[in-house]
Amino acid sequence: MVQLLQTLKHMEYHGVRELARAAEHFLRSIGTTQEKGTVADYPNERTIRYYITEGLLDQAIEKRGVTSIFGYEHLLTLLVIKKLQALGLPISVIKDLIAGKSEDELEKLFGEEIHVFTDKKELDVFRASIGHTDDSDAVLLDSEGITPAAPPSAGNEAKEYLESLLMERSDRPERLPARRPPPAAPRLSRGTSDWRRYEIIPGVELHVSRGFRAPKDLNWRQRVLVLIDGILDSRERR
Amino acid sequence: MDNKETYLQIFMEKERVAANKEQTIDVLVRIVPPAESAESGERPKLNIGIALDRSGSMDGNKMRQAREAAKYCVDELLPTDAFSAVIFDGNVDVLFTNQPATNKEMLKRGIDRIEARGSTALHQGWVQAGLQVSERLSGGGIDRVLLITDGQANVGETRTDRIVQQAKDLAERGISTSTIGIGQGFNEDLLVPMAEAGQGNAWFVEEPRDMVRIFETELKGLVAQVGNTVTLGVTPSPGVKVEDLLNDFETDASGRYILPNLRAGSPLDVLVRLKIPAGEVGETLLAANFELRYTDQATQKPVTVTAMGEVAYDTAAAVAELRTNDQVLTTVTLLTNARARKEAMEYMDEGEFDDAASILRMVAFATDDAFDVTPSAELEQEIEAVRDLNRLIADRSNDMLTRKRMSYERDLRRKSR
Repeated sequence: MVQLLQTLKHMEYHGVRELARAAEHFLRSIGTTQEKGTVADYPNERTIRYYITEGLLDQAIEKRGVTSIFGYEHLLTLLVIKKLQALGLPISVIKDLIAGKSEDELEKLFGEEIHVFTDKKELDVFRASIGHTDDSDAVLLDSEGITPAAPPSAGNEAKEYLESLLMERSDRPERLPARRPPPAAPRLSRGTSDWRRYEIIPGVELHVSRGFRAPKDLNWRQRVLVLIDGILDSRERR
Repeated sequence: MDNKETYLQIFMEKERVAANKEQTIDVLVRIVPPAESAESGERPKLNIGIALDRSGSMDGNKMRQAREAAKYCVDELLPTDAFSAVIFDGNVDVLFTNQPATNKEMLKRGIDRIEARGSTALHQGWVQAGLQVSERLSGGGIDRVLLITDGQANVGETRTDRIVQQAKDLAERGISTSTIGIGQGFNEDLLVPMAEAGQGNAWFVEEPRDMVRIFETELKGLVAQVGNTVTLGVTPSPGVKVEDLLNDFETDASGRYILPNLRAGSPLDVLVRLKIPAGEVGETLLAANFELRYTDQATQKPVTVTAMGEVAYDTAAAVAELRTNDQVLTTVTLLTNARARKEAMEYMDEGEFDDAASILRMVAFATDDAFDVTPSAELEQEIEAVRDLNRLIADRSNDMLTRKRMSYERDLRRKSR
């Protein structure tokens, strides 16, 4: 898995949306899902912003114009957060666990199996069973730590429900239907004469502006693929 | 009323009923929560997300008062509470992400900078405020969105039934919604059902200067909340039928009535109309079983309280001598008047103002009669309110205000508030 990560080392993500999609893309490709069903499976823009305000994720590396640029460490941290959440750890604990960790340490955290114990005895038994007393592969929570104040299902259900409403909303016109442009004019064909259509596979077309020149940069191309993948995926989920 | 636990009090219309005939009787189920919430000084944690309309029509006094009210809210919160605010016009901006109410001065300065502009994306404003609240659920406390608006939803989702359903769905997921309608341009047919479905309160601010007082009442209600997810099951004995429940509470999938949240020191009166079979003089009948269920605010544990409604049969002559129970009469009057308000509103909507006015006149007579039999402050207040409505509808000076008052008064009467 860590090897797979290596291919992403030099990628940049323009904006929170791209970062979310890249993380989702990666998690899907390795087939991770949350077991508990209490936390969203994949990070979205909102959760990323939330992690940033909570200090779990660093601010963007830089700003280009209005776009925030994120890098490999952001993606990696995000993947680790999701993994730890999947183990049922509350955000406050995750924050402590990842604080000050280097890239290598985060990679290790992401790549290894992690065991969570709420009882010191259980932990000792586990350690004895694997024959060492190293702390690095085990997380011990006090019982308060693992019991979030709110029943987790209730909390995340509310949030997920509201997020689903936002998704629904983006399918709908912003304004009242009367103000909606006639549906016959699809968004991409504005200024039709300047666009070329290519059928990639049946049912999927690519529209390219006549004057457009694709950069040779592999990084850039990878990003475009992630974006397309994100679009196709989000359509699937609706 | 120094009880520590919630209990049920059952009042029969009369102490006994006439034998040998089938009849309908009114039974008042009074739900009496503790006089004070849990241990002294303890109150549920609050997690409040304000969704404040900053559309153009809010300009001036309304916005000024809304800002004051929001600041009041901040002042009242404890550092352990959480506060967030979104402001919406055609767009929605998060003014404060969910945060502990610690830096109050900073919060209040931010609120002071809100100014009015644009149209009303009410739905999205509500959704975003909900999202803020969902970021830091209180866990056993109260997570609530306060939607403040003076206008109609005209951007984004505008369908009333959809928004109301969504408020219900969100309440089921732990976040309740209260609505505050200001002035006369908002849609009470959205805001009142939305708050009911959202397990919160609907407030009507006729005058901007009432804003702070309304906020105060809302917060006091939150702090005093001792039970949520409240339902009442009514199980009639064989041969007995539930004819009506005058509060017009909705029922859930299992037929239990969905009640408003329980507040310390505020009893809730539910009026059940039962049809009972004929009985012999001297016989008694267990007419119905009442079962209250709710989630205790402090412990988050389910609580069940039950009581039986018992009927004793006597001769018609003896029953004729008996006085009607004062509490029952008062409650029946208030709830019947609530229904009459709804009916009058429906007439108004059809343009039948004379019919609406005649209903309100009848309401006035009935209330006067009830007061003559059992004078109380409650009924006196009702007489005043009904008199105002009669005056408003007679001179037709402000139909919007008349309708809004009726809508909100109906809501309050149904919930004994």
